[in-house]
Amino acid sequence: MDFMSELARVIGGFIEKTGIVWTINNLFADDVWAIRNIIMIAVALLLMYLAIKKKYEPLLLLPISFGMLLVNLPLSGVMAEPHGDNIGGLLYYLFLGDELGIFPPLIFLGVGVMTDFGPLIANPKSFLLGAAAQFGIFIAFFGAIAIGFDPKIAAAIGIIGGADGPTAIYTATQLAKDYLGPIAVAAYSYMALVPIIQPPIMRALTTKKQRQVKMEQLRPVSQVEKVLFPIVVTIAVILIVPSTAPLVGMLMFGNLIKASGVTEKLAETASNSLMYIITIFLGITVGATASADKFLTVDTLSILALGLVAFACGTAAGVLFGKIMYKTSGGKINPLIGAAGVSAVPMAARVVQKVGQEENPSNFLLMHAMGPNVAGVIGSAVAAGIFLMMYGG
Amino acid sequence: MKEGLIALICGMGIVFLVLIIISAIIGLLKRVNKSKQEEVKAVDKIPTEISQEDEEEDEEDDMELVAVITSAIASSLNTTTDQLVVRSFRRVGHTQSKWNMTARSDATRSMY
Repeated sequence: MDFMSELARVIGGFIEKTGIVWTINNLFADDVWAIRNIIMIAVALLLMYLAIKKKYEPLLLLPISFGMLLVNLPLSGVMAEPHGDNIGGLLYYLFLGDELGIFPPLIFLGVGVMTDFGPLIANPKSFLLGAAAQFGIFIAFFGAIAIGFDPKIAAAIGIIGGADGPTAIYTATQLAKDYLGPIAVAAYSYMALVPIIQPPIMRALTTKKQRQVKMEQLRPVSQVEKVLFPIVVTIAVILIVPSTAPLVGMLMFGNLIKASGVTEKLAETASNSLMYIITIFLGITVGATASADKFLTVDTLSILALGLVAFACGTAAGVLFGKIMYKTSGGKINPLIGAAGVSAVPMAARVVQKVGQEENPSNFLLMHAMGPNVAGVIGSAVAAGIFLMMYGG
Repeated sequence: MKEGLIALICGMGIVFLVLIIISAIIGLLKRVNKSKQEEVKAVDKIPTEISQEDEEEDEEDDMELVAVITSAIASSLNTTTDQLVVRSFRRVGHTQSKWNMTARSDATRSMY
């Protein structure tokens, strides 16, 4: 009998410690609000559905949504800080890679290997379009300040408009750590939604005739230029905006190990195994920052709204600047390629190609759009560097 | 508000400044391979006609095929596609014998 009561006590104790009982007990408890965890789990499952079924940026959305699921399952403690004998959660330690600014530049290393700057070298004027599209960043920053965000946080929110995940995460960890979850989710969701957000803006701001412009073939770019490019950009950019060194430096280093042609193995590793390893760590830990207490706030809604504003303004500014170049070039430049100035490589360039081809089936704008597209990556890294110089520790 | 406006102007200004500077430097890079470009000019404007036997092609993928063929010719001639005009092209006919084709169509015919 004694044995039975002991057994019952142990089982009872175990049941008490399950997440199910905790959730039921705290469903509406003050400060805990377990109902929020349930909502967040639903959000995580929705994102998983979008990643798996709709294939929205699955490479990142899937790890992010799974991290979100893990951290919101009650009592999982995956993000718990170490205290006393408790060693802390797994994702807490992996998150240090984000927090210390290690993972995003390493992703940039891989991105650098995979990026062909050829179209940009062939047509350096594309840099202007890459710069113009960063307007969205500053508009969103301005808007965020106007609705009462701290300038640091406003800066991190603005970078969403750069349409560049690693840059947004890097800036957020440096300037607004508590907002990393919503910012990363907003950045990646909008990047996935580029084909939906951009075309209406592009059509509204251009005439049919402008969209039909066929551009001249880009000149071939020599190996020497391709090798010199990353070196020159590194020196020039970091001399002016030193705080971009981790991002631009890694991006250009990646590009150099590829372009030089003498370090194939390094390029191969950086753009495959290393990048995928980092993607796993980065994705799952970024998702894990979206815990119910930090994510389900009014601020998150503001961030999502501001992110959309940033994207739309960036696209509009790019296209409008494209129109200026259309005029100054005597109609040789198709203004649509300006929309690719928001980074989101290569999605934004593909959108340009598609919208251009709808008007003129024999028009191939893809390579022309890749110029502003990769310039946008450099542009948003520079914008991030400016914010870090202004507000960073 | 004021802070936002200042950041807006400075930020955009610096972004433009940095990218214009790089753009100017990259523009200079062009001179590095000027000698090479002159070689390319030697194969300027070659109107190319490729017509090979048989069979009509459906209109639909024509534009795509033209692009593919043009770039293939361009890369084999070591020039760019705007130096070329593809006037016409035809699909090459089957190289198999009628016996082969009959046998294959028999083997892969639906049973239902």
